[in-house]
Amino acid sequence: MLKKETYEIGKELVVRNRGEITENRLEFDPETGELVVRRNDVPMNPDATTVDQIATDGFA
Amino acid sequence: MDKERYNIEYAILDRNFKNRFVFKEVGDKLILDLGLKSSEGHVYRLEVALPSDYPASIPQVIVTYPNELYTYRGEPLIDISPSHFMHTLNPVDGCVQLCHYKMENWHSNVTLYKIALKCLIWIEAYENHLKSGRPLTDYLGV
Repeated sequence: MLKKETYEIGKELVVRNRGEITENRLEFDPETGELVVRRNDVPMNPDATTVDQIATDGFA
Repeated sequence: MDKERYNIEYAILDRNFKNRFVFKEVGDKLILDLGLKSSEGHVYRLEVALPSDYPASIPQVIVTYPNELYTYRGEPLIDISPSHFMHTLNPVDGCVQLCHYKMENWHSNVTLYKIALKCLIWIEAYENHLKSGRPLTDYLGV
């Protein structure tokens, strides 16, 4: 069984891959060194990096 | 990589992956040894081999730990690599090589930090694959 966070990240990746709209963003949290899913209406941690673009700009 | 670029790369990595990376010289190669952690809590160790003309050319990324990665079906990932569906390239030194940037998307402004984030995304997609059986192309595109 996947942890909820892992499943949520996977779900977000699939949604982005399909080009669908999502209410969430994918962030890299340097404090934990992990990816996290955050709702778009939640203020962003100034130290975090949004990885939405990186996730969709093409893997070889 | 010139000294100025090295300092920039180091500073960005140090801010975001503090104590999780080291640069090492192996022969005439510069390698970034990087530890990444999935949201499942699993640790992966990657080696990013920098070509002599980096950042003009794209680095090669291999997984050095865990020693063996398996697919949902239990077959060694290295045995089916290169794999379009799993986003892997030809194995290097007995290790799985990850796809990250497409050649056409690569440019010299892309930093090692961005490659690390791409690899972290690959890892999350891979761990979802292990449970769902879906190919990585479902998560990362074709």
